[in-house]
Amino acid sequence: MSRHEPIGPQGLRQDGRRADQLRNINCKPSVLSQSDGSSYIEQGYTKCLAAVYGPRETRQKAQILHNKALITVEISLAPFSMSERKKRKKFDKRLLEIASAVKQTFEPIIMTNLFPRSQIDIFLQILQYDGGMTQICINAATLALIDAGIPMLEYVCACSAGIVEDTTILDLNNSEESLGIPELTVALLPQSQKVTLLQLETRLHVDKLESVTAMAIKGAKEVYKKLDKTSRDYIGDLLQKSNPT
Amino acid sequence: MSLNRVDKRKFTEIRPISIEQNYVNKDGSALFKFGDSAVLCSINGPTEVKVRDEKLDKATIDVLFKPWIGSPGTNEKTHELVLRSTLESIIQANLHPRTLIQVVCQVLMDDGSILATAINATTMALINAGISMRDIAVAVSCVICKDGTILIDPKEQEIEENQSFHTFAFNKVSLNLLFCESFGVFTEKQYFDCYELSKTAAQEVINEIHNAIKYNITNGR
Amino acid sequence: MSTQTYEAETFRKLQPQEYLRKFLLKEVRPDGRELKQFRQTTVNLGCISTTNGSSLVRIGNTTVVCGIKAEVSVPKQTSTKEGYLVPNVELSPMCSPKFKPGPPSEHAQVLSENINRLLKSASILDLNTLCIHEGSAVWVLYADIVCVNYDGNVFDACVIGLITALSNVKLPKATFAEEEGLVKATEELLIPLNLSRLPYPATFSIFDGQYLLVDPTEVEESVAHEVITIICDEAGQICTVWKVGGISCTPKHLEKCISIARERYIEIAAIVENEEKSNNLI
Repeated sequence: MSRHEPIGPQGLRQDGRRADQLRNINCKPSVLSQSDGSSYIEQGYTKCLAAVYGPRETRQKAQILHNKALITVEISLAPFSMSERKKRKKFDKRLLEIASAVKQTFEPIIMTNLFPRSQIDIFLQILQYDGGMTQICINAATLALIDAGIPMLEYVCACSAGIVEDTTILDLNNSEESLGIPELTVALLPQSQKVTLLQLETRLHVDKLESVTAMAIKGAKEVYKKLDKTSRDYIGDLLQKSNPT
Repeated sequence: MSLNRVDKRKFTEIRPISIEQNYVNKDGSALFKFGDSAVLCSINGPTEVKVRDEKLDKATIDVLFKPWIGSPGTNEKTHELVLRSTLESIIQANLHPRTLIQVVCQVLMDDGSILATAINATTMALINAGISMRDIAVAVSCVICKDGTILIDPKEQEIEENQSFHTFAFNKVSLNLLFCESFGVFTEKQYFDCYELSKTAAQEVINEIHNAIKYNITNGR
Repeated sequence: MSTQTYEAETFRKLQPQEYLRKFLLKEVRPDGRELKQFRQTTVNLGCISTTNGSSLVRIGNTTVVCGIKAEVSVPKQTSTKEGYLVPNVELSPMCSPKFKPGPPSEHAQVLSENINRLLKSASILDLNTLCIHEGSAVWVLYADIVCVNYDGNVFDACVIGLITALSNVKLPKATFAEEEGLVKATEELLIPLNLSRLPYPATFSIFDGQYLLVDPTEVEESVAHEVITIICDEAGQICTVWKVGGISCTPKHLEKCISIARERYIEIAAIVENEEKSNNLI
């Protein structure tokens, strides 16, 4: 297997981006009719659909929480989403781990105390995968939760960053992820400037930690701008349609 | 294909039918055979139902279809759906609200037309169990050969060799179509020819069922 | 005697059958369609680039994504010159509140089975064309159909999705190197599949024994239990007739369904052709 240079001579990456450039984001809320809230996000070639159901009745009596809502997250990777077809079982450990990280990210943000004894389900379906699973799941879930009208403290925006030969790069795609370089995913609350999730894969020298984190936070802020604009435009449209005068 | 069928039957002739009732010790049971295809159906009910499956205004009908060899797969699940949908329209389920009628079909021998055999076996078992029904369902299969001949009640070998496979289930009272499954490639005319021939053959099956019931009543259980 | 008036939504939840009846008496359906009208259908080809062929089909709100991936495998013992197609339908809890997480529901299994039967019996693709080297290497096409939004008539969407995705598949030219026992394929030369038949479906339900509803929505499906599906091909021949539930179907109903299915075929073929043209222009 040949090793491509992640950063070419002109400082451009394999897909033509600069080191600190985010992939193109395309997002749209309210794409599914059956769920309470939904969204579709494309970050580069990674495509993800999110559906939110809730608050609704808890399925299992044993799991009812008396003072707040139960949040469940389920991530499903379509068998055709990666270059090698893999029929992932629902209990694939990697997906469960990411789902658990997403759930823990949203638990303090969603105002669950407003809906005791109920359940909020977040379903994420990855249709095409080209890197950045955790970050796209979080971004898609944020937009879907906004569409569902579930009260949250703030947006949660996520982005990944890595470092290769002393250059920090932003928003890794699949081929960059498979190089085995350190990858850091950050989920940020953009207005209060707080970090809710920080995930690191492989080893990173502690001296480099700050610069990589700073890069990821910068990326997350750009994601926030995009998500915010999309939400405002969408809600603006809705308001116009209901109040034509 | 050939002018003669493998077992020397006429094109529109069904295989010899054999019906046995009270085959097992359940509320109702019947063994129905189309020649070498045999399905045993047993009925349990109306009986107690799990709270999550309970329906307030009618009986819940649950069907289990067990194949001859191997473990149940999507094919068996489809047969279960077919049987359940057919029975839901026929059984007077509103007479037994909040109960369960459990239907189990076990294939004993498979020589083609197994779904038709199963539907007929279920009908006999329901009559045997004494569950009130609006109507009864009788089913017959057929195939269309590459040269256009229609063969009623095909054996496994005839199904494998031919252009399309059809199963029809009719109700006795009005001979309306209860269920139809046709896969293959065929014209509209061919389809309706199959329909008519199957309807005629279904009449024969109804007669056999009548005879079996009469026999049971006159000779006592 | 007291009478109560309800809001339409409440009435729909309490008495779904009466609710539908009130519309049908005026010869219209709850979503405003006529009895014989199909919902707006759109097809998007080649939307998933990690697949060999893909399509996104929308019938009204019902949305289905079909992705086909090709792998090389050893052929089955009984047919050494043929490749094979493996379809699978997924109805995840995301597409509707009716579906709970867990193993595939009965609905999904029945859909998978019927699609499998259609592929086997309607000779859509000559499996010999998938052979790379007899007895050692054949193409296996995995067709995964994922429903993302369930608003009734998923079967139609799945069949259209599968057929359009198959027509979108381009396989690299593969040669079998006997000495090494390896299959080599070149990405540059892509050959589309040669489909011998393009069947498209039409689904109906009969409500109250008299109203024939074309392309039922989820609301209509839950009260009209008599379902008829007809799949026909470009020559007007029929590939599948599937009818379950209910006791009111007569040959007249079937004749009407078959003639509507034929008109629907022309509609779908036009939609697909337009999509292919605009795809080629890009």
